[in-house]
Amino acid sequence: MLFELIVYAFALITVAFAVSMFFVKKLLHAAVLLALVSIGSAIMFALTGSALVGVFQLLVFVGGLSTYFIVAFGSEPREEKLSFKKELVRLALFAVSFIAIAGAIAYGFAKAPANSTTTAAQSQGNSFISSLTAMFNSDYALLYVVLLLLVAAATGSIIIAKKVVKLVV
Amino acid sequence: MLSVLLAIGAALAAAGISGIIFSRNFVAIMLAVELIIISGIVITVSFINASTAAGAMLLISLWAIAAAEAIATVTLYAFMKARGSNFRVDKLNLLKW
Repeated sequence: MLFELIVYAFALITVAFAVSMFFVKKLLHAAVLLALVSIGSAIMFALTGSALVGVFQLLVFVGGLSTYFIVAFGSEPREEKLSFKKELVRLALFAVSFIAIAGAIAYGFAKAPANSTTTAAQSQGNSFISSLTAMFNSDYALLYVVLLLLVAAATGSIIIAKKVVKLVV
Repeated sequence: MLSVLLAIGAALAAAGISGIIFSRNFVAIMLAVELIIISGIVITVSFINASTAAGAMLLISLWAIAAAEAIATVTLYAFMKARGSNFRVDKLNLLKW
């Protein structure tokens, strides 16, 4: 009972962080809240039996991406201030949209075939690491090479963008 | 417990889509896309078995896509800031010649 309460509490906190991302004044605060959402999702993975996936989620999102965002955005203001009335209307529209979309997705999950949700993640333990090593000997090695190419393309785009910025400025 | 993961995934996706609809700042929209990718990972973990090679490969692909999106966001942000562009998407004219 206590365990379930903890899980639900973390779930609520994670969703609250995600929603408040769009109502803070600075981009830096939004990036910090995104990091907190990542931490919350990693904790949820750990609580539902996928501890190693949670650790990888922490490494990738909090250790890498969120730090990148936080350093990059600094104290950039998000947008100009709105009047209280406009802010209230925006909040109401956001709430209506959030409830409608979340309801639609939840309805979709509820109507999904029952056997599609039976492949549980509870069996994810140390076998996650062994599956990573087995990956190199499997048919998925080609996909791994494609991923490496994606990383190379991203690095190349940064170099090109830096040159373009030098040309323009 | 798996239904909790699905509920969180649905809520995060809804927050991300609503954020895209109601944000006017370019970077806020890209952060919302990042949020949708996180929701995709949460939903994927609740459906697949990551102890198989296929499951691990799918998760690593999702993490790589998230990383690529983050790099694209920060690169575009640096480029637009250097050009002095407006970050409001309704006033962007970068693609106009």
